[in-house]
Amino acid sequence: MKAIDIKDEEIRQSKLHIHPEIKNLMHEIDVNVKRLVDEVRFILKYKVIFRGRGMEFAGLREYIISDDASMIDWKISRRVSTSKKIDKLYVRVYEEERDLNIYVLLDTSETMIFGTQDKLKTEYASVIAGSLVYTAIEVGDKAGIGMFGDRIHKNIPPSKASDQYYRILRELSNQKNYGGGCNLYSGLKTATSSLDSKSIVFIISDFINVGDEWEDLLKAASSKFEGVLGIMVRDIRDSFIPDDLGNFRMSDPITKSVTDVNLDRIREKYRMEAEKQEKNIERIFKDVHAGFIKCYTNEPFINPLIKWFNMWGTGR
Amino acid sequence: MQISYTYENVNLLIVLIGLIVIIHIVTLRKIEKRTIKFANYETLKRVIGYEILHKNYLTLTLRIAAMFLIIVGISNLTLIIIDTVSDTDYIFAIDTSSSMLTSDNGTFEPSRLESAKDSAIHLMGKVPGNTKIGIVTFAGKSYVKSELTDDHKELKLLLREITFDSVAGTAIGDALITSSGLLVNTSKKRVVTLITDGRNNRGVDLGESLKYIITNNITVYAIGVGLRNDTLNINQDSELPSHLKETNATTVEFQELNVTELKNIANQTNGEYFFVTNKDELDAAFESAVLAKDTTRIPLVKYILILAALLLLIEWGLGATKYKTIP
Repeated sequence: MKAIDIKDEEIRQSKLHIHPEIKNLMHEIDVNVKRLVDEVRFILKYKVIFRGRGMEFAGLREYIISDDASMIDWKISRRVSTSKKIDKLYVRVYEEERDLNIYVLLDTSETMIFGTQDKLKTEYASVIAGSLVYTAIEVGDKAGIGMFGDRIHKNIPPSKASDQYYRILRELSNQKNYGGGCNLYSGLKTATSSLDSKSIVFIISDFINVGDEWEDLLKAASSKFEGVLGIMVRDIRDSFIPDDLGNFRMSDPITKSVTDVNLDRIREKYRMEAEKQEKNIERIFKDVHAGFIKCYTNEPFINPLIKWFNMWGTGR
Repeated sequence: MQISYTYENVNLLIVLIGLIVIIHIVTLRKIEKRTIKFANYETLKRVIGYEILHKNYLTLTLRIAAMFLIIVGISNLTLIIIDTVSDTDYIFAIDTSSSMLTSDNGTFEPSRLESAKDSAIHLMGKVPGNTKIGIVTFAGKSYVKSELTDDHKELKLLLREITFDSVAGTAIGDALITSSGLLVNTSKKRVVTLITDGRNNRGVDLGESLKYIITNNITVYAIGVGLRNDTLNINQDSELPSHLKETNATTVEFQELNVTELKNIANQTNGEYFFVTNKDELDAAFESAVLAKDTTRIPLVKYILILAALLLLIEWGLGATKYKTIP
């Protein structure tokens, strides 16, 4: 496996002028990503291999306690032992002949530019996207991203290029890629038409006002790709309204239409409707056998993501 | 039903409504800058439901309606309710004094009386069949020829039978009292169409009879018939033409038409006075008097301004309660 040394790339980039926003994003990803990388590395390297795909022998190495015991090559271990007693165990190391694409489809529409917690949904989603890209590149896979609103704002096809990570971070930090309406259909269309089947597609969105007719494309994507995971990013106020707020004048970030509402009166109904909205999206993903997780911007995303990777690695 | 404006130019103030719309739009734009963008507006909208009339438009509508009413109100809008003929009972009070036999140099052929009868018969064909009409004739005394009836055929026959009355004089007051007597029991509008060529010189004092008909809500349309006596070469000292002498008429019966007297009767009873000098004018006056629709004028200013104030109150109330917003 030819892993890219991201640290080296960062050092190289640091010599150049790096926008503070990109630096901040890098920092956020660093905080979150280590455990994800470890987990994903394991899943992609071993669990995927055992699914019987094309593999190539990479060599032997000494057995360590965390290795799968079934990987021990007893013949070699016996042969290299100096005595009759096997003193060291060796495991065969395989590398999958894989060229897996990790592709992040990121919703950058106006509804994502909203946040009542520490981060806007876009900021939070960018960290998830950056972490996935980092992880993919770190474990030797290709990473790409499609940023979509009412159309694809930016599409960076999967690549192992040394500057891919930085390139993606730069686009994640570019405000021009944000705003407008949302059309998940156009995002999925780009993904299904441009990626080959050896891809895992992560759809990061709040799934609010995502448009119509995307369900069939999601089904097609789920059938075509190795994996599809919907990551619903929500601000807490997308689901709940706090007590004692009274009347507010609210506006639709996309259509700009305005309404005055007594939030105290609709709190419970809003909670129920928001839950229904979320469940509906989840059902659509489950129906097409795609994964689905939901994250609030005030919660860590690593655990649900790792959980899905584990399920995906063993469950398919 | 009609409407009328006393101060029509006030309606030009309607351009103020355009100003209100502009102010409203400018205000809205300022207010919209103070709105909170809410990402899950999709769900919020589903919870609130569909608004038939958005708050902003409701407010604007209320303001425009209030302004419109204020403008219309200060233009002194009056509602005119016009009654139909069938809502009215009529008495034709026809002067049958011998002076009515004059043909006025041929303008009333063969005579004023025959022309009046002919006009009345002609009119019968124009009023609705269920219109009740009575007939009173008068000279020195008044007589009921027919009580109120909708038997127009019978009425026409009675009209044809009317001839001059030899009792000298013109008892307009008596005629009004007699006509009133026929109308007092009807619940409909009460109208007397009075046709005369003289002045009240017999019977009840006209002032007394006027009080009586006013008390009984009777409207009098007075039709003065005939040219001036001097035009007809008649004066108190001269002799009457030979055909009038045959009727035993005297110059006493050729009192000059008292226009002031008839106008006074018409005005005080909310009626109208017509002066006719030929048969065509008589027909027209008769039609105007009978077919003239009675009108009721209701000034609407007070009601309109109250309604405008109410709308403004509602708009203020909504702004202070339901549509109160933070910030």
